[in-house]
Amino acid sequence: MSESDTVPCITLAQGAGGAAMRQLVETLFAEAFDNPYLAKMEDQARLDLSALQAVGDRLAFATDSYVIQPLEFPGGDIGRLAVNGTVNDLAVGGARPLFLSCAFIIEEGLPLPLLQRIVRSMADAAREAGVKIVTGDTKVVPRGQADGLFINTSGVGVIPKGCELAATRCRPGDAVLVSGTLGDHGAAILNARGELGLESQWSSDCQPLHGLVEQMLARCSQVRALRDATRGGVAAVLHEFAQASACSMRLFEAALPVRPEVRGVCELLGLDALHFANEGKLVAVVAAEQAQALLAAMQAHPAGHEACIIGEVLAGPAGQVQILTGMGSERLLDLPTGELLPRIC
Amino acid sequence: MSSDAGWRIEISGRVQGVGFRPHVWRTAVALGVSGRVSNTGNGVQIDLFCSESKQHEFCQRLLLSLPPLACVDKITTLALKRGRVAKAGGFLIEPSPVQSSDNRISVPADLAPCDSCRAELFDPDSRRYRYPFISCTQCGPRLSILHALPYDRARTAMSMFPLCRNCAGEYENPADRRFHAETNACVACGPELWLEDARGQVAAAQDPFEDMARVIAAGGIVAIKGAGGFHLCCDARRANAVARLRTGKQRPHKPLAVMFEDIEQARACAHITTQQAETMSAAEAPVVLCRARPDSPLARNVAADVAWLGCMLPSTPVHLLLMVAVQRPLVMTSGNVSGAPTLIDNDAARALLLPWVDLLVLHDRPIVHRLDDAVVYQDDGAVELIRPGRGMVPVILPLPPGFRTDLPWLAVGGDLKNTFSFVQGGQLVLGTHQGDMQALAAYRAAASSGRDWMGLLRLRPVGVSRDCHPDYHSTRLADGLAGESMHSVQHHHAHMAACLFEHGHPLHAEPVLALCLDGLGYGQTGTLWGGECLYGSYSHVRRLGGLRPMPMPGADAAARQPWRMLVACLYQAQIEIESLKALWPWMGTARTQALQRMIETGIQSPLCSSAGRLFDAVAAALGCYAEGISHEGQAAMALEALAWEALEMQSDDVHHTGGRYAMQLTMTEGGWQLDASPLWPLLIEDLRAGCDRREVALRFHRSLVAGLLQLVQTIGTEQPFEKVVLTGGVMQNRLLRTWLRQALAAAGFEALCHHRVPCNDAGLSVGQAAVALARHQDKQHA
Ligand SMILES: [Fe+3]
Ligand SMILES: [Mg+2]
Ligand SMILES: [Zn+2]
Ligand SMILES: [Zn+2]
Repeated sequence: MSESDTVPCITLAQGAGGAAMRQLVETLFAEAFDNPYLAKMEDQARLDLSALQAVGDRLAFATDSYVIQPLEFPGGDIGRLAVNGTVNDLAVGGARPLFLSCAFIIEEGLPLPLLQRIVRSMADAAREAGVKIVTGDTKVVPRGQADGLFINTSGVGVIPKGCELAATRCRPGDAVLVSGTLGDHGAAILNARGELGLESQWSSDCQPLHGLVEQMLARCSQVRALRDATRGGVAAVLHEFAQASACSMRLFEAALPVRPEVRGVCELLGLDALHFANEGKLVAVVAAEQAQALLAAMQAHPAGHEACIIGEVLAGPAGQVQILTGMGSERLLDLPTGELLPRIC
Repeated sequence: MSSDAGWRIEISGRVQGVGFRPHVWRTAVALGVSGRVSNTGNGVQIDLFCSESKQHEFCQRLLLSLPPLACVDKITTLALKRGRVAKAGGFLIEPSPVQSSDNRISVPADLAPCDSCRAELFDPDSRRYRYPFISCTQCGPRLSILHALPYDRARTAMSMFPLCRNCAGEYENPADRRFHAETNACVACGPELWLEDARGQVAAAQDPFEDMARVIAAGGIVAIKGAGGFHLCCDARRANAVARLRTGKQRPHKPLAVMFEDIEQARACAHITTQQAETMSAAEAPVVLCRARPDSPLARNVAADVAWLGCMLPSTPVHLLLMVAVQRPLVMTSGNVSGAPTLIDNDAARALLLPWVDLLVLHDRPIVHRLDDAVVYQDDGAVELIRPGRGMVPVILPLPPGFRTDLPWLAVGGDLKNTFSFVQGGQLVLGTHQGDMQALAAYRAAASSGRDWMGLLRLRPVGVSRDCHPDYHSTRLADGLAGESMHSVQHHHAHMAACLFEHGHPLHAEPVLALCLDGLGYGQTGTLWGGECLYGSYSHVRRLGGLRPMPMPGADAAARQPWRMLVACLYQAQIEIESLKALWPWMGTARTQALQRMIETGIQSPLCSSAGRLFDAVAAALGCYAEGISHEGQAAMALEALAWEALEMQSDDVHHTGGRYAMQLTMTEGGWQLDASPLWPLLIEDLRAGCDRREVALRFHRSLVAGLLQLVQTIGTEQPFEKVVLTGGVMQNRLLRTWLRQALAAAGFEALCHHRVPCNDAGLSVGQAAVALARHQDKQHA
């Protein structure tokens, strides 16, 4: 935090509700997120129902909090993450994301220029994702009571009529796809902390997925379920799918897309890329007969150009996830209870 | 003579499938008493109609000359009510009543051909000349073909082979040695053997064993359906054949067992003591780990870098005929692919083996229970079970004094070398080993085998024990098997209790100290253990000390790649690793630097007080599989082998007590801590001075023994105990075990070692059951 010695920093006064805070909100947030809803400066955003109804027949509503170190990393920052994360939570339900709220919890002493970069990055991400940040909140907490900056975003989207994505709908025989390489975000964050001292650089995959989802759903009617593979990685998503649908999931080890650099980090750490977090990848389950069509649809979109078919749904024991290894044997994929613990005696 | 007196005699122990009822019959007939005998779910039940004195005489004679394989645990006699005494003369072997057994269990084990059957097999005048399924009351398949208890032909896979007239005659003739031989069969009525290759069934030749021998002599690989599963075999002297077998089986290094025609043939390849020869020749026919001879004619890739060669003799008539035909030692390893359970089914073998083996030897007798070969050590006069398998399972142990006998229980073991234990009617039954639970096939097999066993024993457990590790697959398996109350038992406490249990240590006897030297287990407080001193007994232990915890950079990866443990140990010993490039060229590279940073920052580097990992680090330092191992314990076994070589080169003997590499003992918050760090500068000094690495390996063993002895003695000044349990997978190291035992004895302690229950994770289920039962009982008393 050498930046904090020489530049203006956030003070407790800027979260106290007085003039200092008003100034911060007006000059930073309102200006960056500029849109008619926010410009009204009421205590709530007022959204026109008929405009929403024109898009679909159900409202999707999601929330997520973002806590990450470092705040800025190759391929993104906490602000971009906070926008795309909630956009993706809406998108994988088939919703078109429309509006976001955002709440900042700022640690006293956060350099103002850093905050400005993050807020502008959020604004850019919102613009790219076609969503508006329509309401927000700011708190400043004393030094030591937060780790720089926490952001919460909630989002509202609309689900088109007839779109029924659900993990419970996976059926034996369905194909499992992933929209791109595994674990880029998790490995990038570890690397960005500099603790491993690895030379090579690659970026987080932080990106919005709603455009990809729209294209997938437009081309394929038999998509059963989608999920963005964030914390816990693809492994956690597949365990959720297997549990919800009372099926087994089987992955083909040889088909799993992993960047060589990420594979290197995994090998060093003794971890599996399937357990690493992603911030712009989704897992899709689709009826077998539409697997190729879905794959083509995904690969045709920039957010899914590295999409692969990675597995299939089996009628096996509910909740089980297995991997068919390159050697032809099958092993069980762990879903760690907490942190991944060694097992070899 | 009061003809209306009657007695019911119930006998438990190894009394089924060993010719016990015919023995009862002969004894009764010789004495001229009438009555009947039958198998029950618990053993054998005899009704005798005679005077009390006659009954005494009967029992005396019965026990005096038991059939060779029989073993009586318990005999109870009750007077029969008047109305139940039959007046009619004669003595009958009656069909076994099927009844619920909530009492003692009698499960017969598979037995290698007896001498009489061997003689008949090679007698051209015998009607079973060269018949590969010859058996009698003293030998043959048992558990492997058993559908249900009590053991009777109707409840085995033999029920699909109706006896021909000749065989039925033998079965019914009291004078015949096949009187009531449930597996009786001959070429006219019994199972059949045939050969298949990739093109289908091989045309029946004069003698299929000549065909097998020809394929093997040409360097081919043959898969044989044995008693409890398929075997893969090839010429053990041909490195090419062994390499092909290894490739097909996807098992690059793990030592392979070798079958010999007889002891004499085996002696050319290994040093075999008289006792080891006896164990190999016994009806159980286990794989016995013997010291390999340096001048052995076997291919090096059969068992490289290990001190021990797994030696066995033919365990079925099929193997016997084959060994006579090939006239050479054969690699004889379980017929499975890449860690999956051994194949038992013809179709599965066709699908998975025919693509790469040259010949498949099949038969039409189904295998009901999968049984791998048992593996044992035999030294100092005692057999130590390493892998529970054919002939040795089930291991049946009585509950030690103080344990309630009315609490049926299930224990599901650990994740590697998994076994189940079943408690019923005052006995514990340890089942067969089921492999690594992360392999889906093994997990599935374990689940179904667990259900089979519970069905066989009619077990309805009141509780289920499992390991504390939250992510063990076996822990999840327990959830699926029984919805009863779950009890988690700490890994090393289970190792310790398993040893106490087999020694019959009473429930409420004095506390003992356990030295648990292991790879890794989930500890009491969420830390990882593997080198602990636990003090207590079944229901409760306290950790009084142990090895200093070391980082495991990469967690499980550190267990697979010994170089990581070497870097971790050197880091902990504060040795600058850049300076060690001359010894280990891979030191100081980007990856060791990255590993050091992982250790420094604690990323994916959990602390673990594991003896196994310390062995790995020293092994890596001596160039044993530093890059990576392909099977558990590989590096540590190579280290032990080096030490044995050094020992055999030396003139002075085992009686060194101290070691050059002193370890440091300090009192910490967590008790007495034995720190291995001080050994590293000395070990490096030795290596730099050009000391032979075998000598270094030996010095490490000696130093560790000295350090551990000091640890035990120091704890002994603060706590009262006489017995020291030696347990955990690392105790498979014979050098360590023997020296520890000697050192402890010299210091006035009594060392308790494993014999009937494995010291490795295959024994965990026994200890899990013991601990949970003890606690269950304590809770009910409170
Ligand atoms: Fe263990
Ligand atoms: Mg989320
Ligand atoms: Zn026999
Ligand atoms: Zn016959």
